[in-house]
Amino acid sequence: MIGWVLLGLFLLFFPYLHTWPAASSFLDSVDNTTGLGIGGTFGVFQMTTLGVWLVILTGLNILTGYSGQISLGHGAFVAAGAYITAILLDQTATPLVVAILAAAIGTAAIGFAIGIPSLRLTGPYLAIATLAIIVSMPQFLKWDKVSEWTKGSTGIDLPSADVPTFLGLDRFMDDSQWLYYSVMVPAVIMTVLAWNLTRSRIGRAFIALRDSEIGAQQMGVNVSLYKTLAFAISALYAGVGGGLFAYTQDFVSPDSFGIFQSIEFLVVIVIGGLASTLGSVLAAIFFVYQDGVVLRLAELIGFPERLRWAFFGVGLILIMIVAPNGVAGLVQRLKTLRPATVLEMLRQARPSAMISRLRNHPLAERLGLGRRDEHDPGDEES
Amino acid sequence: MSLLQIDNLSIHFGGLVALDGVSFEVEAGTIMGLIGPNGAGKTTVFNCITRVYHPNEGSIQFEGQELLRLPPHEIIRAGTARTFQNLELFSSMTVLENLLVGQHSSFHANPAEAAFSMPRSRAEERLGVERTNEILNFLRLEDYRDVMVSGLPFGTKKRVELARAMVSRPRLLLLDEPANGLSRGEVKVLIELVRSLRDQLGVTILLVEHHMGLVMAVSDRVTVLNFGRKIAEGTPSEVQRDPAVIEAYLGDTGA
Repeated sequence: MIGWVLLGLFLLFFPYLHTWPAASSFLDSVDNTTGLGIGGTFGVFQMTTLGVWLVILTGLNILTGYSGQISLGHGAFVAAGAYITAILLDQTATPLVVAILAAAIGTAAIGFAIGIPSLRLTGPYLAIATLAIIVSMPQFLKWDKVSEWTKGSTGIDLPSADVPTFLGLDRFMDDSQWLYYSVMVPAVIMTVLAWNLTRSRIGRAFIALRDSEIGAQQMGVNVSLYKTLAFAISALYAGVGGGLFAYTQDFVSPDSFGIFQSIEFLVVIVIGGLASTLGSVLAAIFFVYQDGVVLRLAELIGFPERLRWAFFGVGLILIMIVAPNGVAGLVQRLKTLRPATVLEMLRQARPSAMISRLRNHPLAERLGLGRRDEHDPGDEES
Repeated sequence: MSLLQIDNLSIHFGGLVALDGVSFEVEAGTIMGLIGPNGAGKTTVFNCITRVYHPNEGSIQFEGQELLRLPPHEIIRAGTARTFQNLELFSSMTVLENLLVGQHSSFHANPAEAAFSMPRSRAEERLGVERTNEILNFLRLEDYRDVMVSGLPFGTKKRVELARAMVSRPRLLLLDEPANGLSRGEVKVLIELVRSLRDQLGVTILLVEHHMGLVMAVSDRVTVLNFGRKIAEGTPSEVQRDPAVIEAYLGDTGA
């Protein structure tokens, strides 16, 4: 309980932390040693983008972590949300809240529509189909028929988000602080809603589908409905996240959402932890702050920054072996971990065992790289 | 009128006739054993009742309702529940969560109600846990409630699956080889358990089983299939004396 209050207070006062000299110099010294980027106005902006990615990654985790459907093209939903918001803000006098709600509903509808043909595809085939969506998306945005709204390859420039003057808000906060709150409030609400949803009959039905489709069906879960529902909910989150993205960046273009970004989404939720709200939060933290930290590491040990993807790959493989349930799973395990278990794990650290754990990872399994085994990776919880 | 009435059920997969005009009835409050040599079509009957397969011909009436008109996920709502020959538990969930999924069809909170944790969602959640506790106590599984299913021993998993089927309060329970993989001692316990499910919870049971000891001990009536056809039906002792059954099991095609 006290932890939640402290977290709430931290999130509430974070944008003002750097205006307080003592805290400010502390944040700056942290930045200088670790490269995190939490101090100054830049720190506030980074935290704001954390909110944006939190919404997006929470949505992807509902689709991939809970319902077990891999999407390599999640960026396309984000782009849809960002464009709906940007077009409404740019070409009409729609208020921000309405524009984002429109993005949420519009993107959820797109997600539902894409979810229906996806019912016929599973595992690697679904991954490839979603990859096709993200590959074709920039071309679609540049298409003559829609470029009147999307502004083709130039993209849409939005006026920068200024703190409104009503209620004298501008006397209490600057633009970066305003932006922070306009992202963090919906981000926290969406995270709490996801947390409720995933622990309800709906979330359990998603996991049931993932673990045993036939079992779920025979327990009364409408398989097609729930699979498309997972797509729709996940797309709704991507739509809201995309809307917030457009608002915070003041700019969207077809290049804002690439293939690598979508793959990165998938990688960070595996690192954070599939099927876990904490996992989504950790994934967002990782997504935002790893850049600075890796750059700093590169400086320290002197490897070229362009090896970042190699770092990513090795990190992913290690996490899949050491913590099949991601860092969130590791945190859960720490509570019950005993020295004897650690010793046992080290004793079993043979290459063959590692490869078999890699192949048993839910992600590998779903991409068709693994094998179905009597013992699934969840075993190691016990 | 019988609780379950199967009429002229036929299904073929390509050229293979898996069921050929099978008919039988299960009276309310009885235990019906469905036996036959390997490949006789026992599990196929099960999969037709639960709509995993779609038969080419025939009808399956449960409490006067035609099950073949329902989509697969509606079968449990009609008042039936099943277990599986090879476990189909949700391995990354706890026992409690598995049993909550077992009650999926009893509850109705929609995604919005669930996300906003509205009164109906919370009330259903409480009721679900209550019913789970009841059935876990009945099956003496209460110690495993919050344990991850994947870590449980095989025999316990089978009981958890039985609990998951019973928690939806079915009027007809379909058991697919419940004794499969159990030790001799565990089968003895299972015999008592199956009887008590019928006697104390009042559920009608259709049992597919290889284990003759179990079938003969608990069944009121037994239906025997061979090569997709019904070759005998009667009380356990009648069936055991039936020459057609003896031939099916001991003749040159059986055993």
